[in-house]
Amino acid sequence: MSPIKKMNIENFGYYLSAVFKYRNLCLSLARVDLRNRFRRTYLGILWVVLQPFSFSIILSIIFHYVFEKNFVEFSIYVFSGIVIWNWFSDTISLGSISIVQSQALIRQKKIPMLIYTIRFYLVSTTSFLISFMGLLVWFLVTGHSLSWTALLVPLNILILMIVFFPFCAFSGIVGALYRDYQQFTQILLQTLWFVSPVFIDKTVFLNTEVRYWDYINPISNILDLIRKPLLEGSLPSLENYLIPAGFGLVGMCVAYLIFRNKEDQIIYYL
Amino acid sequence: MDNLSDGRDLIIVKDVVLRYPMINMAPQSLKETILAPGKSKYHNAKYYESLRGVSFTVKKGERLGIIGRNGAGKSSLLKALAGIYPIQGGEIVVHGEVNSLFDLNVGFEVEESGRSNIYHRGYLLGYDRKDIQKLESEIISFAGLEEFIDMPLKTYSAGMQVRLAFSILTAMGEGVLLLDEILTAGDAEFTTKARKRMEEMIAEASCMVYVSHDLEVVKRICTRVIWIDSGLIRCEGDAESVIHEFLMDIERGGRPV
Repeated sequence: MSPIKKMNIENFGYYLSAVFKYRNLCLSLARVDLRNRFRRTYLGILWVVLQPFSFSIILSIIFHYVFEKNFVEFSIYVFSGIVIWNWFSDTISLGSISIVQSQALIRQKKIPMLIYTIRFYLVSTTSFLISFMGLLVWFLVTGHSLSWTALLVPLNILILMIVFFPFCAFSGIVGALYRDYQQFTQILLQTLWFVSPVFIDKTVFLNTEVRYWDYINPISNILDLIRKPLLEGSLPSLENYLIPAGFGLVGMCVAYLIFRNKEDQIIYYL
Repeated sequence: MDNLSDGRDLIIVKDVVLRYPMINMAPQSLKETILAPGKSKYHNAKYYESLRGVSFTVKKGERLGIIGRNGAGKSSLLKALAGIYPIQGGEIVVHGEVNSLFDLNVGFEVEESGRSNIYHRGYLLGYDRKDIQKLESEIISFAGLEEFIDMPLKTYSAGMQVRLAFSILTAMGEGVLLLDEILTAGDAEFTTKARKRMEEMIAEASCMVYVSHDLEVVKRICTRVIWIDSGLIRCEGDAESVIHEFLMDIERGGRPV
């Protein structure tokens, strides 16, 4: 009688092979979620681009008249900020509902719960990639050209994909254990939005006492990872890489521990 | 699976204890957790002892029926076998792929077509696209949904949804089958058809555990029956005698089945 391996992230290889086995379920559910998001709208998936784009335009008009910003330059700055910000914030908020939303399937068959968090991660990441294309178009249409540093952008996006995923994963479990988590993260995200250079000019932070915060703020560094090589034609600094990497590493440890200790019990919280 | 000779134990259940934490009965917010660190909601909860030391085995080719009163622990046992409920004591070993039928029409994507839902269910049961393609037309025709299969599931009647779910799951049920009271699905015509189909499926499965209140069905399809009472095995043996004992007890106790 051979003992059956427990389907827990502790048995890492076995767990991942089970995740791989159900990859079709995951992809197919993600496709449905994407379709459902814009079902019966005329513009469909285009909204992924139009929503951040129109918001950036409106904000740029206001900032142009109130703070005398250069309209085009500012619109690109804001658009890039919002596109990356939405990716992060969608990843957390979709992550926090991922397990609860999948409860009907969880009750039917024992498969790794990581699948249900990947499902929602694919939704937020696909949305980001589409809206990023929109940013690229707007950047080129407004008469800018790409510098050689733009070659770094795909690599940096790949790095961010790895950094963001654990946050989606553990948010799923924590969101199921404590339904307050969803509300709590909304407040946290709103705060982070105002203390990060998403639409606020980065120099505003650098000229005040909060500049140390800006150095360590993961969001600020994440934004630099895309903005510097794409918009400014400069190389990201070392801490632009190190701080998000550290952020991701902490996320990974937290996600691993939470999955190891809590995944089995989740069924009782649904 | 092929190298398993008949008579080998496919399911081994040893002294299984299942304590079901009643978390929804004892809600705890984030605030309480922060004010009482170290005491998690899970460990704080009141427990319901659903299974209190249950042991049995199921051999290849066997069809085990589980009967008992409401709340005796039948469904919990099945969910423990499927690995959905973690157990607090004892051991469960299952050889082979577990296929379970618990809630027939739960977990459908209502905005999606019936066809797309066939694929989702198939993927959940561990099938790949090609395998599902082979079964697709057969599933649709058995469910009698040819005209409706490309319409969104939310336009289906409850009976149609059940028919679709039943057809999918019975077309794909292989290996170790765990079934929970599913023959009450659909209209009279479909029920007859469904019974026949389920018996065919059971014949193909390597072994089966079936939970039901329909004692006649249990008598007909199960080779052995376990009667569970308050989380313990009260009686075990051939279908005829266990069901007889069970009915005698109900007569004595007068409690509804």
